[in-house]
Amino acid sequence: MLEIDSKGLEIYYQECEDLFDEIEGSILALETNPKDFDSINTAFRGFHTVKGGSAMFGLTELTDYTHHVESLLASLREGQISISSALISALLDSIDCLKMFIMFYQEKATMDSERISRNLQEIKSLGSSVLPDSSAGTNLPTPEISAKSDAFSTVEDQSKIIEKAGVNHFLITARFQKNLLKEGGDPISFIKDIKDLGKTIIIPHSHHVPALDLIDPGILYLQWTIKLETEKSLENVDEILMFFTEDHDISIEDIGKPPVETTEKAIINQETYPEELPEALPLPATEIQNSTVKPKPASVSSRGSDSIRVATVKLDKLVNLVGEAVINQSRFTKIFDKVAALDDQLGESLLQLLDDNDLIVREVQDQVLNIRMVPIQGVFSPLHRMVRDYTVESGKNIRLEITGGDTELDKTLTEKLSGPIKHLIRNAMDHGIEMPQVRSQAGKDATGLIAIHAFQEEGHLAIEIKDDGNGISTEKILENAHRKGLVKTGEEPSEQEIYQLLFSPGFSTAETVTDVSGRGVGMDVVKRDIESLHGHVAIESEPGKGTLFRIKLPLTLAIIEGMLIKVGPEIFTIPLLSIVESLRPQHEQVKTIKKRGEVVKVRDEYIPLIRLHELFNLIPKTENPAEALVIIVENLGQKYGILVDSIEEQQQIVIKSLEDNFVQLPGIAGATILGDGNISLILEIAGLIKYCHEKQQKLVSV
Amino acid sequence: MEIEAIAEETIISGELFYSDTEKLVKHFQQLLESGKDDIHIDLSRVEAVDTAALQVIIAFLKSAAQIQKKVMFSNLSESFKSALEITGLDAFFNNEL
Repeated sequence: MLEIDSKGLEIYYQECEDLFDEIEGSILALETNPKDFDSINTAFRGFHTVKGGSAMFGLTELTDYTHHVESLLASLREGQISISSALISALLDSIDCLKMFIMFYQEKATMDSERISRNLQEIKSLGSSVLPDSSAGTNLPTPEISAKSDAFSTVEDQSKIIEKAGVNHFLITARFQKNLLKEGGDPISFIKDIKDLGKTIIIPHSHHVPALDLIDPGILYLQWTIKLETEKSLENVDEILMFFTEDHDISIEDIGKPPVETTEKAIINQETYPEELPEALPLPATEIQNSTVKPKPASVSSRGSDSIRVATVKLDKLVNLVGEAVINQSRFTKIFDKVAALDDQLGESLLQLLDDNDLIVREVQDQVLNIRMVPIQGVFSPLHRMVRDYTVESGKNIRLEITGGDTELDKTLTEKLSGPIKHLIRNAMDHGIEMPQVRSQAGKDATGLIAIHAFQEEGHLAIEIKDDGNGISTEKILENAHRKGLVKTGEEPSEQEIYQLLFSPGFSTAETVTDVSGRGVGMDVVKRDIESLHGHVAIESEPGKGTLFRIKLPLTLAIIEGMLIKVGPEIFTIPLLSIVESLRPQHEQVKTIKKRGEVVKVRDEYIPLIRLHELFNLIPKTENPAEALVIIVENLGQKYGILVDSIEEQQQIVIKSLEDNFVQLPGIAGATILGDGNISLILEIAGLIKYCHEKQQKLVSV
Repeated sequence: MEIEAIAEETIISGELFYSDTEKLVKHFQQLLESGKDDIHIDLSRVEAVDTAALQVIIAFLKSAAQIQKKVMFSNLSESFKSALEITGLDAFFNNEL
């Protein structure tokens, strides 16, 4: 009966993924604040949308499953059941089940039917009350018995404030969207909501229902007119039915007059003593008579109309093309010099045109890059769930505090950042935060705190992950490092160097940092991932007080600020983020130290020197450091000096992947096209250092 | 949803949801095409019903009326009655078509 549209399905899956985050967020919010009616609505809406789509695409198992979860939420919304930890766990688990369904349909995972049925059982037993459209074996809620639980008293209270004396009569006409049933919806829940408000007379209009041979069961033919007698005001009724009025043609008309006396009095009072009027006096009857509540612009569905979903590949292509335009722009500038030398006037006009174009191209570039920017909150949101699950399992009390979630960064970065951040949080929970009794004994708050703070700093993104746990003792790290032979006896690494040992592959002790839940990401991978994003991670810790991880990243991967440097005939680009300073050393500043090779002494610090020309087999202008320049770069808190002939200029560069276009080279992050059309290789400091060590070791072994 | 025919009676049991409507339509069509003038349907085992299924039942009643067949629903389950009451379709059923 239904044609499966693969593109539509793809969009549906994508939408589901977004919805899952939203639902999860609202369920977690519900746990902290059980009176949060909005969160129930958000969750309900989310499940409802998932169900609607699944019904539309004929994913019946998913429709059935979500139907039960939705029913549970409906009972919750109606106050028939109250929020418990078991309920939250079941709902969270149901999100995982939904994810599994989607993964299964996408053929990315297998189905754990046992888990699904276990969860379903749980959901069913928790919501032993009515299904909104199945009403199995329960009484209909009448106004008397539909007393809301405490959880929703806020909504009730609010309505009481604006409730008017006397009884109102409304005529509600409901013409639902034809596709409501197909999308998994049912008018029954709407009518039940109305029935809960007071006395009703329900008149169904069935004349549109065709004969059996003509019926399309997915189309809703029935319409209703409902007469409602209630103490609630028009605003109240509208508010309660908002979930439906947003999407359907539903009008609510006030047809009942409050007692004439009151109304007249009100009008008189209004005219004579307006300042004495209580706020909740009824409106003049004439005004009420004609006030029909129009469908409101949907707050959720409007999301679809003012934004569109675009494949990142398309954006990447756009970024690339704009990059090309920027490069061409600088090539024009070079030609301009020649033209101006030949013809002044022509040169002048060309310059003006070039300047105008330059502004436009840069504006386009900014805008295109801006499109790719998304709030980092997307990376942080799933952490709430992770922390909650962990606290339930471990018995620890942990509070997660997130600030700066609206800080924006390139989408590619957010995708790659998620793994490392999760790992750091898991470490903080498992090895940082102590058990409540241990914390209390140490005079700390029994609830541990993990605080994540994201902010922009000097054109970069900084993320700080701080816990108030037991910290990391440098002695223990050092002890372990000695045992593993990572630090040789007699070596005295600095504090930061010791912490950096945590990032060494295979470095893990129970006292320090390990891969907590065996998800295959070690601290070395965290480091590698962050470095692959041209970022750093540094650690600060105080035993007994806690640990701070500081991550610094560029805001985008597509364009970086680079310093162009020259070695022999080649121009290389060093990411500005890595550069600490540049200097021309005096002859005596450059020394060769046993076991450490050539170093340059800068303010009492010996910094290893890398001769770039030796590394890449180039013939430099000079081999004498005193005549050349040393660019001091930093990688993981360790400084290195790179010997170059000269600095050319600092500029924004568009990164082109070498891997995609050529081959991956050690120590090279990619390439960029310069204004004159030449290519400059971009140095990747971490890789460069590794390459340098490997080369040295080869020399030693030879 | 399960549909079984026992003697002269059709028994519909379980949950009657949108996903079952296709099956329901087919079965009702078969009933209309059968030679019987009176159609007896037992609804005592209906656990839940949604609007989509109710619409199909209305369509069935309309079609039956067109060819002058009499449809008799018996033993309406509590949940079926509730659904009728909520949708206001109870009056509809009592008076028959």
